[in-house]
Amino acid sequence: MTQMDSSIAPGVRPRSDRNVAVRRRRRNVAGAVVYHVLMATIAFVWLVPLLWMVSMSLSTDESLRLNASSLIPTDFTLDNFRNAFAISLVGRWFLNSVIVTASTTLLTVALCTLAGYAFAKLPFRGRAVLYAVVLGGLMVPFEAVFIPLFTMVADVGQHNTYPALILPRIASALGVFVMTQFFSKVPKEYSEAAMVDGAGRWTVFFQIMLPLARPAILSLAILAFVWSWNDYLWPLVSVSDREMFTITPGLASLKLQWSNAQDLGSIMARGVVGAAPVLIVFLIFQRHLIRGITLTSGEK
Amino acid sequence: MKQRPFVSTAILGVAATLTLAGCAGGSSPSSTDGTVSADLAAQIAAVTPEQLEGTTLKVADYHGQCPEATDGVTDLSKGTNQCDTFGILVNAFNASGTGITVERVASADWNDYMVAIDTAFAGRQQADVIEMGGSHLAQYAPRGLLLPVDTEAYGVEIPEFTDAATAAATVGGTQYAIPMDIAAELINVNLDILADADVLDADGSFVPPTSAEEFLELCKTIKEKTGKQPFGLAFVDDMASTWLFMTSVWQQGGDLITADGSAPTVDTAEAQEALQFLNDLIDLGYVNNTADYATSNQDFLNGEVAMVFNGGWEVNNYASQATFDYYATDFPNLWGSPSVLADSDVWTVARNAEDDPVKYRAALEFLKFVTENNGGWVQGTGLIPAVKEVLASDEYRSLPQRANYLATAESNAHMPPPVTNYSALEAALRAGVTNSTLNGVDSADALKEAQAQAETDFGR
Repeated sequence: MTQMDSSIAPGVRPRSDRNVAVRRRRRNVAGAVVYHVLMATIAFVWLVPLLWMVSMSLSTDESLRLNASSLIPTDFTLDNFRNAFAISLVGRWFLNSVIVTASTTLLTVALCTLAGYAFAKLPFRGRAVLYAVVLGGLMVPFEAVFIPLFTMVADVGQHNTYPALILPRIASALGVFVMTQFFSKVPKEYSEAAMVDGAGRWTVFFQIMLPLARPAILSLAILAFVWSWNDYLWPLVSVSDREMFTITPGLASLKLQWSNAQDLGSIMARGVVGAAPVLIVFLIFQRHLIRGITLTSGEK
Repeated sequence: MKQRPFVSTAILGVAATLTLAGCAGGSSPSSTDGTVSADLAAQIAAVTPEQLEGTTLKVADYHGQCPEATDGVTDLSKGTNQCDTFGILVNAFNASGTGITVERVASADWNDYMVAIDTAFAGRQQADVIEMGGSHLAQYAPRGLLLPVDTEAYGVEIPEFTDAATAAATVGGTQYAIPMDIAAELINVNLDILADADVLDADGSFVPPTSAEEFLELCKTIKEKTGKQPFGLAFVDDMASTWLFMTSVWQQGGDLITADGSAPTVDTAEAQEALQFLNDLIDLGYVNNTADYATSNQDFLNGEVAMVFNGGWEVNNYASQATFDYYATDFPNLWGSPSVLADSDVWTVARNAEDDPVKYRAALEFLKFVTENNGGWVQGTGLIPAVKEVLASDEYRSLPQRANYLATAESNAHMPPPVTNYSALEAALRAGVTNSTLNGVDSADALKEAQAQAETDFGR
């Protein structure tokens, strides 16, 4: 039994309690320091390739032929970036990427949101089977279907066009899954209450479900943007006209054999140019992306 | 709400139809058996310059695009690498007044180039003229996808090629391509380091070793006397170590396929010896087996490596950038049969559904122009000429280092086996060499696994 110390003033904690509190506070601070140091280390390790790429992009090709292992630019230059933008088609490739990516993102979001709502909320015959078929698409890599897809597009004479670059990419099984998961978590009472008030299915979808789905839609849009911007293989095989390249195969087409040894700075600068829009989008919208993923996982 | 079975059934039906439509496509790219009738040959020969006027040729190549160096340039002597030299070559052809316009289709990154070519053939969207490595020719020629190149029958005069170049462009006794060069491995030497190691001849020239033991002894002397890395070779993410392995097998008189080309022979005594040589270099510390292509180049140019196994495509770069006494020569004959791995950049004419003689003639006229400018191509790129006359010319032999590796050009260059599934064999060899030299697998086991892999994949 703890004896009361009669010398302690009322309201003041006993010395033994104060010691415990001080030790707990020190443990918490130490724990926080260890945690933050660990996180910073992991973040730095993750960032090293990116920093290295930027460092090389700011170094001359000549200096990199002798030493490419420094995180600090050797023989600093902006010529690699100037040369990347000086190539006459780079602007056109950027425009193509913007058009294709924006269209793909919008259409993917529209299609997947509609499909997700239908699978989650609309009872119809064959829903389970159809949903399983859609999810089955997650297991088929795109590379396995691109030759028949290429032939299909060739048969309608659509290669080297925007529709050929956009349409094959909008039916995203993962997007349908994400939106179905989200809508399935929305209590049915929301839609029932609206219908009792006379709302039809479309009204329920547009005025109740869509606003609720904003975080999930944003995260799907960001993912679709990243996938589409980084898409390389399909534009590579579908496009033979250089003016119709998107930025990723366009920049890659500038790479010579053995360029890794000779033109490292130029290659890295082009990589930074190609990756920059995706990084910017992610930095601006990362909070929405994380929130959207959290919501679709079922956490509230 | 009432269900709508019709709508759901209809949607499923449409989806199934589209799926089947997608799967039903991709018919055989060509129904020809690969031969050219006398009639077609005569039609090609009869094409007139007026008929060629206004013809556009789509040309697929893997040399990259460098418009900042080539826009408006037609002087081939300004080429400094494969990208700008080829770009200038095309510009020069388009300006030459034949009436034919060459349009380069979008160039793919080197690693994805053949994927793009395969897809184009599958979708019947192939270019008119397609470049490929000679080692890939056998994958396309037997399928009737390429026009056999009998320039004499087609009325197109093309300069004579070297034996090695002709071999690279020939499959089953029929020439299917026009070779542009020979890309062979060499040994590139820092004579300053060798001088410091006191291993040069009295006149300061390189003394090539004549056996594997002598090579290892040379490396040992260099390392002990100078502290420098004796030998450089790209092991990581590169084919160089595999190419040295193949070179070593051939120098022993062995081969990687049976005489009739029907089966791989990877697990042999010669292969064991070749792999042991590579592992000895690693175990004795004479080579850095963590180096990739760029690193091996950097170490050599920084003067840290005495000798490096690399090809003629780097000769111009080494010659211009080396701050030491640089020397390139034939890779030493270590086992008795002088041989070194080589390949060739070859040009093929793709068959089209209509067998259009005007298109074929236009393609051959372009390839004739490329061949006539072989000297400019090899000057800008460092590669070995495919044309006999160019190889024998004083102009070529006076270029930096070229006279030092004439034996490679004239006789030592050994092309990969001309088999349909060379890619599978190459992949198996690479796996075996990588397992042994990087992953620590016992060389005998590595070769057994490589043999099994090659046998499984070879016949597909």
